[in-house]
Amino acid sequence: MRALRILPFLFLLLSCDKGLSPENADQKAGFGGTVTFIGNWNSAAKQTYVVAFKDPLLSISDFSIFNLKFVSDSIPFGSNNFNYSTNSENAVLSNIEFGDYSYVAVAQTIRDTLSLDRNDWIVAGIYTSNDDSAQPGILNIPQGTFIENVNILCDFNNPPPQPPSEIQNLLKSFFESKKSDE
Amino acid sequence: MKNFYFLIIILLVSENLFAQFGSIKGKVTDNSNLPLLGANIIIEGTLIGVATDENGFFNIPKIKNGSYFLTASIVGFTKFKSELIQINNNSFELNIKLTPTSYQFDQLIISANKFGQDLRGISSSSYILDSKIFAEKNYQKVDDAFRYVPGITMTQDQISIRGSSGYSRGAGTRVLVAIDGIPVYTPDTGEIIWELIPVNEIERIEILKGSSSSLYGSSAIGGIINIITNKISTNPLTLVKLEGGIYSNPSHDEWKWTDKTLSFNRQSISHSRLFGNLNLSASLSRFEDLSYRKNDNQIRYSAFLKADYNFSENTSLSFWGTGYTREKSTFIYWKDLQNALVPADADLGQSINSDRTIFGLKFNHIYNENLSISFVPSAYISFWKDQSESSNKSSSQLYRNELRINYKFSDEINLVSGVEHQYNKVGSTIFGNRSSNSFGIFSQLDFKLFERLNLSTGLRYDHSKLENLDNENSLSPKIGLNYKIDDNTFIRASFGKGFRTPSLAEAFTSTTTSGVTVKPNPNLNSESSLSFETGINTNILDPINIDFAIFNNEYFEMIEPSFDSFGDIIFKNLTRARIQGFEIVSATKLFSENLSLKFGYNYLWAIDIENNEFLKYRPKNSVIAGIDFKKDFVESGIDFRYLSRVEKIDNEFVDLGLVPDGDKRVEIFVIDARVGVNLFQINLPGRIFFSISNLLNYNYVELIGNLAPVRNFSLSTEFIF
Repeated sequence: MRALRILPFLFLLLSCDKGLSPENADQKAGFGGTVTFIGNWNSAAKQTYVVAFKDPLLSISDFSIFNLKFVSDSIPFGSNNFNYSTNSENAVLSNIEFGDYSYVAVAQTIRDTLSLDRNDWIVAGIYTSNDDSAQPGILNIPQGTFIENVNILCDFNNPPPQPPSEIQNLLKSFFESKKSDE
Repeated sequence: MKNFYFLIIILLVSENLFAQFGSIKGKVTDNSNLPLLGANIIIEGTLIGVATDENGFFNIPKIKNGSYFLTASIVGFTKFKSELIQINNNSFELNIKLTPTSYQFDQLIISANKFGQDLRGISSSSYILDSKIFAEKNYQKVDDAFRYVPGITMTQDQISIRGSSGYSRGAGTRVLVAIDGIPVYTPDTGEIIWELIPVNEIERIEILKGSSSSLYGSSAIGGIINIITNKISTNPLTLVKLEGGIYSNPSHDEWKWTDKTLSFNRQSISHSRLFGNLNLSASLSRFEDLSYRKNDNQIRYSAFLKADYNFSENTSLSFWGTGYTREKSTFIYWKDLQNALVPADADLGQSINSDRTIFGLKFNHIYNENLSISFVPSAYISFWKDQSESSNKSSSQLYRNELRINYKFSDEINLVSGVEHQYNKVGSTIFGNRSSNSFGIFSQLDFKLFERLNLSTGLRYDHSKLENLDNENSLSPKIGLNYKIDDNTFIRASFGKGFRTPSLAEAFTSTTTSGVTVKPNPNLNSESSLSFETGINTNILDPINIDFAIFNNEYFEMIEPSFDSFGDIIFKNLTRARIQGFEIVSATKLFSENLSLKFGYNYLWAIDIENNEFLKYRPKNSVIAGIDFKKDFVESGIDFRYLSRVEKIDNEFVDLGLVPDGDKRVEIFVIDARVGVNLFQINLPGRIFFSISNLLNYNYVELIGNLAPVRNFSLSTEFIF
């Protein structure tokens, strides 16, 4: 009979929470839109992607795998328009969660393989805010929400400002040293 | 040289030819006159020993005429020592009645100092697991039992004693696991393959917490687990064991990935007997698991062989070997929490085939009652190949030799000294063609400083060379004290240095699996530690036994896997760490030993000092509790464990999108229950046990993206002929 005394205790335990559940999973947040290309494609461009970085690209060290959250599937050479989605199964990298994304862009490389060397890339177009069409816009994705119409214009004749690279750093340090000499 | 061996053989044979012999036989029972199976009967001062059969009988034949003491021991009972037995061409009969002990009292432990000592008389924390639990709880692997040992946490299959390890994807171990004193970590990755240890062949498991590098060298930096195998029965004995079980449905419909009933089963048969002076035991088993997860099924065939040959009462040769061949599908991480029992699409269809074998040999000779010598060679041969796109494979061998001398100056002073050599060789697509060499020399003196004070001092020197890495030299001293305040209370303290050389896998792995790239680090150094602990063991209210310990372990150049800026994994001498905490363990037996209670609590403060953050995969609080009740031949029990939510994991796996929802984890809260009949109690040679694991079907992870087993039911039947 003593054993029966533990039954209320067991009942209490059985009514406890069950630990992890599918409801704990994050609802899939993301974004998508259309990339429009204007002008002639550079024949040296081997690969073109839509990319998204979480934090702003203020220095070359921000161009890291930990900051890079999205790389779309490859955009065919010569395209006029390209629809993309962070939920695409063909995406090279898709680790989008809710929150702010500081740099969404279309990037091109002259390499055959994907590289994380900043110097291998040229930015062909950026997502901009309505307030300033020349600067990268911050894209906010609320929890469990898919944002549509995150459209990007790539004008090959009028490329956007490039994020920091080693060449720029070298030029900057060169000009700074020149200035101090004067 | 040939003449020398010939002379030895002649001497051994002639000694046997002209000697006069008798025998000792008898029966071992408990207080209720019920036979005890598996009790160890040893002729003191010799290497001759047997185990009792299912009826408690034993028979030691061919004992040279003379005077002997006989000892009988089994876990949970007070050790018995006979009066002086005179053998003069006669057969001596002895019936032994063993008295149950209070929990953990009067037990012997051999792992602490490489000779038998009272458990409560040693200077560091220890714990003994009785093999009975494997029969009663239907554990399929030996590590399943460690989840209910205070101070031990398992992260998937990686063991940690008092927070010594986090999770390193199977590369390296900080707990040295041994079978009969022979280490069993793999030659390439340096990990413990638990499936290789046959649960049916275990007599008991000795666990030492805290660094034991002064005796055991590298890998014992976090503790020792020594698995002692069964003594062989001299009477022919066959054991047949059949087990089967099913997994219940997952607690959320979203996780159900098949309509089939998922099950597991195991069949094993073992036989032991005596052929002249040769004691032989062999077993075969087959295990199949369809698993509660998709692409996680396996089938395994394993074998175990043990043989003891007594040349004389002073000279013996023991051999054991264990091996398996296994085909296992690969489940690395879940797809996401919505699909927690399904792997990532890329891993579907992948599997690993592995064949692993270990052999150990022990030549033992007692020169006189004070001096004995052992030579212990062993080999671990391992091969595995995965069926992934990259077709990784690894073939590796580890050869180890140990020569050990035990010298007893008196009953109060004991010296253990030895030398050890180890050679590893690996040929692998991911580790390359590598080798390593290590050499160690050790000595430890244990003596009574005063009547009540035991002092233990040890020193070990190790030299190791891992491929083209720099030579590593390490000196590991240790000092320990144990003071017996009275028959009920012992206090202890120990201080020692530990070290661990990196495994070949930590230094040289170069592979990509499931989108994760691991890079080699040829600049890896050994890590080291300084360990201190003090504790008290007392019976506050007989028969309640309480053990309290506090510990502080400092780690230097701790080797941890980390991510570089490309998101690749590389093993580095990452940090300086401090692991502090305390532990309370209590156990008792009440109501004529019918009710057993145990409780353990461990508090851990594990800090990466350099980065001022908690170490990965270390729960701050852990609790275990258990109730066992037996009445006549019916036995039942409930076990409970709780681990607080780990503060830090490899968040990079989540940040890089490799393990979706990988950051989702909760505290661990598990209950197991069992009920069964021990038919030995009514003179029938069998046991039947029904067990439920994870009774509450509680969903938790030990490792990110790996849901622990859902509730499962199992039935085991075991019969001895």
